[in-house]
Amino acid sequence: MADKFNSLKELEELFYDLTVSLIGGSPEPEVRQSWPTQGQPGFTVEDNVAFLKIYDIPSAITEQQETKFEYMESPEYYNEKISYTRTLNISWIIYGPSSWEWATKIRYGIYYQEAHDLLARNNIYIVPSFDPPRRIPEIWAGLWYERCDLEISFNELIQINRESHYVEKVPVVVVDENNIRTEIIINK
Amino acid sequence: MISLEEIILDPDFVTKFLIIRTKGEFVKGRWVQTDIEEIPVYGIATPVSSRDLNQLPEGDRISGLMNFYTIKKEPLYLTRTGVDEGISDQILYDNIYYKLKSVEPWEPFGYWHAIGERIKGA
Repeated sequence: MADKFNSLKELEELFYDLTVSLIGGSPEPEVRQSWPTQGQPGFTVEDNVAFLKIYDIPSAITEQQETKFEYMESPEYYNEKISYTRTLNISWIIYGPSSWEWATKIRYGIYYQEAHDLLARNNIYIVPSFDPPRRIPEIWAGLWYERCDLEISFNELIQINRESHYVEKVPVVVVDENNIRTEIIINK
Repeated sequence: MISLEEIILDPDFVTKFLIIRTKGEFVKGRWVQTDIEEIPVYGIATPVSSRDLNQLPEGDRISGLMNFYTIKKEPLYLTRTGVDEGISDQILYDNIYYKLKSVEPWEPFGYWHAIGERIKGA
């Protein structure tokens, strides 16, 4: 049975596509992943660039885990399905003259039906409680760079399957007071 | 202006190293290297700092800085945006890679000076 589990790369591409569609416009908005191994080219004070950061955070529903045993039409194996929810924190760090406007577009666009459907197809659902965009310009080399941050959490359903063996037989040994042993095999 | 190029190429100082220059493009927001150019050059390589041991709980790491000098026609690049977009040059010297952290454009005096930081751990 197929697992439900988005890899980090899949999440990065999903939220990249979502961000590009929410900001919209032509040419396509510049959206970049954070933490590139080798580094990546920078940007100027005039450029509008959104950076994505993705990581797990604890929440009220991340601790519970459900284990379900499912019949697999096999006399030897059954499916053990483990389900739990992980909470993802998506952080948009947006630079440029349009940074506040971009953050606002993401803030209201995240409730669009298309955004919901795109995320739901990947078992991800918004936690509809988050702070508004935070404008925090920063100074670099004598210039103030416009910057606006937005953080939204999402719950993702994780399902992991594995094949497990049924108990085929149980050996039982009975030893009486005279040390006489009797072995009993209990078959399935 | 005086040109110090002949000092950079003086047989008493000169050595050979490799500049590794990468270009690339953003694909789904991820920087992907599309072109890696290896440029063998003659210049001077001297230490800036000692090779330092960082003994971390997860394992040992070595850090260190090197000076690199090249002549005017062999520029050294830090990260750059625009048409010729790319990340900082790396230099392979004595089987160790250094990522350029600082470049001094002494071009009018016939040379470039850069400081590279040892990468790829121990």
